[in-house]
Amino acid sequence: MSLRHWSYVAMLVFCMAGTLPLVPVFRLHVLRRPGRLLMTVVAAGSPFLLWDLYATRAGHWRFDPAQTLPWRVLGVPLEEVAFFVVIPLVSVLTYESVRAVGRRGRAAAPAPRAAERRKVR
Amino acid sequence: MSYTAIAVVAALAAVALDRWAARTRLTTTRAWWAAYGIIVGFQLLTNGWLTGRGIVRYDPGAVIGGDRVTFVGDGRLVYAPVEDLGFGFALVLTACVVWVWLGRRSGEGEA
Repeated sequence: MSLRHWSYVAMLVFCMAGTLPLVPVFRLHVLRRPGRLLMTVVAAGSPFLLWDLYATRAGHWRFDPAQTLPWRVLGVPLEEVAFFVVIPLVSVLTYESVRAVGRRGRAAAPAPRAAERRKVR
Repeated sequence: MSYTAIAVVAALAAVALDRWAARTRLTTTRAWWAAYGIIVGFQLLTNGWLTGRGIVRYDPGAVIGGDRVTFVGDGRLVYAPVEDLGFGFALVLTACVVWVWLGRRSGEGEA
């Protein structure tokens, strides 16, 4: 297998390498909720994986065998299945990081006056 | 159905899920849109890698654009068909909606 076969894997690794550090940086508890995370990945990822399997079969798109690993799951590269795990995960981590930044900002700022409070929330 | 049609339906379905089915209403919050703004930037980057290198190739009959893989134009944005924006929006929103919905159900709230 040449390095080119790892092209799709490289993109997934990049996504994880970019978002996993958010966990310690923002002290996220996301990974401490494995059940909730697993259900999120399954419930959100499955319909999109089905769409992907349909679209691949219908010929809407196809994958370059020279730039993907040789393993196929129901006609799509293994990386494509992993995509539907990685993207929900990075979505949740990014969203929770933004919320953590918001909480931090609110904690640092002086308490808003009652009239302003509604706007802030 | 073409990719274009499904992408539009998926984006609308994700908003409907957020607003009316799960009632998480993330699309009414600044936090979610800020997160999506960050994600969509990285989507353009990583998807540009997948499509610009031809790791994924599209049938011109299923998308707005044609056969040509260009940086911008001909129905493409950073090499990827614009339909991918609908796909990405729907997937990211659905994942966040499910995550928040599960959290509220179990009384965890934030994580």
